[in-house]
Amino acid sequence: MSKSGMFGRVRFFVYDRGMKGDREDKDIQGHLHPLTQIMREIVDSFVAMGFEVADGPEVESEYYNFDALNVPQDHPARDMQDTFWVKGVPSTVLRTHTSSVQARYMEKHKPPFKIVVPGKVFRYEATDATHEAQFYQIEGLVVGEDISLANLKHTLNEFFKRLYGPEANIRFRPSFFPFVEPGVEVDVSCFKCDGKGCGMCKQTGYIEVMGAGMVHPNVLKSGGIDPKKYSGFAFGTGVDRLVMLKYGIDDIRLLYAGDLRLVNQF
Amino acid sequence: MNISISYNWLKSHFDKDIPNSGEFVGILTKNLAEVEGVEIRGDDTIFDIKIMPDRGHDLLCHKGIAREVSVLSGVPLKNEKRKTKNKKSSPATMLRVFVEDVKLCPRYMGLVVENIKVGDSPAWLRTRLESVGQRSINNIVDITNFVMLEIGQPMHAFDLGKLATNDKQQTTIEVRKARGGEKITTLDEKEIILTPDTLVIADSNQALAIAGIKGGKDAVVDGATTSIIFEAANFNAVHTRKTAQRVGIRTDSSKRFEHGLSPSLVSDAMSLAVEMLVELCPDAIVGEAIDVYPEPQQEKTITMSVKDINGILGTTLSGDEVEKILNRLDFKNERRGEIFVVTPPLLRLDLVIKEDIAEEIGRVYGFDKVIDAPLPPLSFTPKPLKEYYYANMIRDTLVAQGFSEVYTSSFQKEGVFAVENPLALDKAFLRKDLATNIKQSLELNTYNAPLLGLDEIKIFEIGKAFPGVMQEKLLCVIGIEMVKTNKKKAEITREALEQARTLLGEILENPIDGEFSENIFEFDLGAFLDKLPEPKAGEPFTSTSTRYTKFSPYPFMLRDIALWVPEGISVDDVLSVVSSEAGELLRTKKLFDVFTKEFPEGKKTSYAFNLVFQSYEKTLSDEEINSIMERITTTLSAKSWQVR
Repeated sequence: MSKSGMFGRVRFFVYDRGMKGDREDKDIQGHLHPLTQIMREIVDSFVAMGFEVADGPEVESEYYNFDALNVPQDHPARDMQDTFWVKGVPSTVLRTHTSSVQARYMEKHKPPFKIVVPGKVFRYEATDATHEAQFYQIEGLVVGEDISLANLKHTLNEFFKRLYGPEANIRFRPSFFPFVEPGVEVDVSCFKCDGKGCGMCKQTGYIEVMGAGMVHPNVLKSGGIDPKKYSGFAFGTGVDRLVMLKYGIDDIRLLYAGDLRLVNQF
Repeated sequence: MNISISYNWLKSHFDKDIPNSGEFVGILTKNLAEVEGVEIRGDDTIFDIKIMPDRGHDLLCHKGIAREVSVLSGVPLKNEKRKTKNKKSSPATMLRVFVEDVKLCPRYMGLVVENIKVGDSPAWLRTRLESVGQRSINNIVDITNFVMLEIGQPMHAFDLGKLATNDKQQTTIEVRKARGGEKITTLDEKEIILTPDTLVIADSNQALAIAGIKGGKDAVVDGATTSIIFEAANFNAVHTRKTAQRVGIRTDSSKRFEHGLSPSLVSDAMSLAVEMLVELCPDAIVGEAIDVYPEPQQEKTITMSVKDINGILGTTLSGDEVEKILNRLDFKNERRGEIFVVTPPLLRLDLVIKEDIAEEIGRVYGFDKVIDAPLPPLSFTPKPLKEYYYANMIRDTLVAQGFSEVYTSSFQKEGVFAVENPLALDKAFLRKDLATNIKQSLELNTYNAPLLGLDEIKIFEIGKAFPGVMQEKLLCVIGIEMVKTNKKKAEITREALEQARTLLGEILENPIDGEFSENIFEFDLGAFLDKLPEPKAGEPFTSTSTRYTKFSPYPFMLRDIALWVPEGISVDDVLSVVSSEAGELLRTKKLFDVFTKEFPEGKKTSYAFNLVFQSYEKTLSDEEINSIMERITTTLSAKSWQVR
């Protein structure tokens, strides 16, 4: 598709030498940031499953970030202790999740559809090794006729098998998010020990990776979709955590430090 | 919100055995809520359970968890009949209750108890409270805390003797907004000035408590107390949360009210409190409860069909199975064939629509039993997104040219578009461009260039920037820093940037315009995308599976070494000697010069290396490195290689 033929997938020079070992001047290749690598791998897996990539703004209206997602007017998530508000523009926030793209997309597209939405999100949170005020999420949304929780389970199982291999499997646990009902927490069998139990999964065999559920009828209504005719599911995952787990990075702030001591290891 | 649950306390709700603590954790995790901690304390086990916000109405207490244990394990709850007080008694003081705004206080129940003796709680009560980290205060206060931890309804007790009484022996409790300038002093001597939108509990003189949040010092129950007013009330969730935030006090009580409680709990709480009090103070004179509850909570019904439930869950449950689960949940229901009219318990404020019932059925049935089913065929043709596809094309092009990708913060010290509530002064604005951050990144990485083994730092970032209020642009920035200073540095840098720009333009079949500033080139990728055709999806990407190695926070030190070796001795031969002598502290070694020359005794090769030393534990001293270098030199020389 390109004149030089250099596209498709770029093969990466793998530094398994790390910082402790030798570093020689052999590689002329640069390095893709680990966030990009994991994000692309996830998004491309969904694309291979027939999903469309969609996006939305980082500065978002309170409506799309909260109201349209069935988050009550007085919900604590809207407080200044949880959400960044921008100055000089009323009812406008830095989006707190990529779920804000749900109603935006629904308004412009008729079902059925399957979308995946990568993007940066923001939370008012003091930063430390495990917390950042900015991080990346990937949201998925499927709306159509006769869509059920069993379809969600199948879709996510297929996805994690693509990502972590055929042995990977998921489990649902009860959870709560205002924009889904029922809502579940998704655990995937530990990719390090294949579910046997190890340090990474705290001996449970599973790693918590996603929030998900059936799209709340109020959200469909906000997007102009008739909940009597259509149903759907949504899921969302934090990319930074997956990056840190996979590569053993112990400080999230390093991901945003512009520091090649991190990037050039990948 | 997390709650501590005592296994022994839980067991008191059952006549029969309940699942052991291991099974309990399993059942809860799978069917109800995450157990985040298990701690064995003496003969008890304490669980730290994360209750989801929608279940704050009914699960922030032992009885709530016990109900779930019963639903999920099938072990019936003990039949708990409240012992009604049998002795007629009428206190000397008459209580009147005035509620100003029913929206803020949907229900208020007050009750006078006289002739009590304040003292230590019995051992069983102390044990219960202490097991979940609640300090025992005295029998009266302990009763109110026990009731809250048992059934989830916060309570309060006022010393009646400290309250205003009129000449007819009447005491009035007012639930009202604070008056201008009104103050309250808490038990820990903190004086709080009450704003007029604070809801208070007052007698006819003064505020005694901040409703649902904290009691004041003036009506505290202490050793001298002989008569009290028990309060069980329902306060508005949002109002309580906002007040708690404003006064900066969050208590176990306010946290429960913040979730919204059913007013129906109020009378249950009062009955339990009175029963306990009569047991602890048999001579107590208990008055009639004054119950201000003008709009009692009504039961609500949800109509749903078996088909609805199976449609949402993707299951094949029969009507009988659905009915069985509803009965296990103790949800009143009327069945007409495949249609159910469900009446959820009053406590379950979270159950409003049929999807809510589907979730209840799903979790009790077990989400693990929901069998995977592929999506029905959807007539949908995905369109590749330009922002995604072309950004990745640029990334791959630049990486192939030796550029590395960085991510930097969206917040900056200076900018145009500000955040209302910044985390810090140097994060007050959204970044107006990417160039500012890239400049810093270039500096940082130039400093570390020897460690990285790089002669030039070549980086890029793609991301959103905010050059004006409500302006959001997708930008791409490229930065180059030639580490080795050179007379023509500026020229060469510019040339390299131009080259990258030209290459990108060729790949994307459109010339790229942007801004150069010294060693940085930035362009508006979002605007550029408009010129590009609809893309096609690329091949799926696979991430590298390398493992990250933490880098040292300590400074590094540089040394060069050059030597002559007989021709035929390879770089690796030399390096293996250098590495083994240098040991753990050698971080990076780089060959920077090599040539061969004829000597009378034969051909010789000259190698020159940069060596970078760094410790993970400390800042290295010159002496330490010098002695390592000496060791290397000695060993190399012993091989008759000439270190120059």
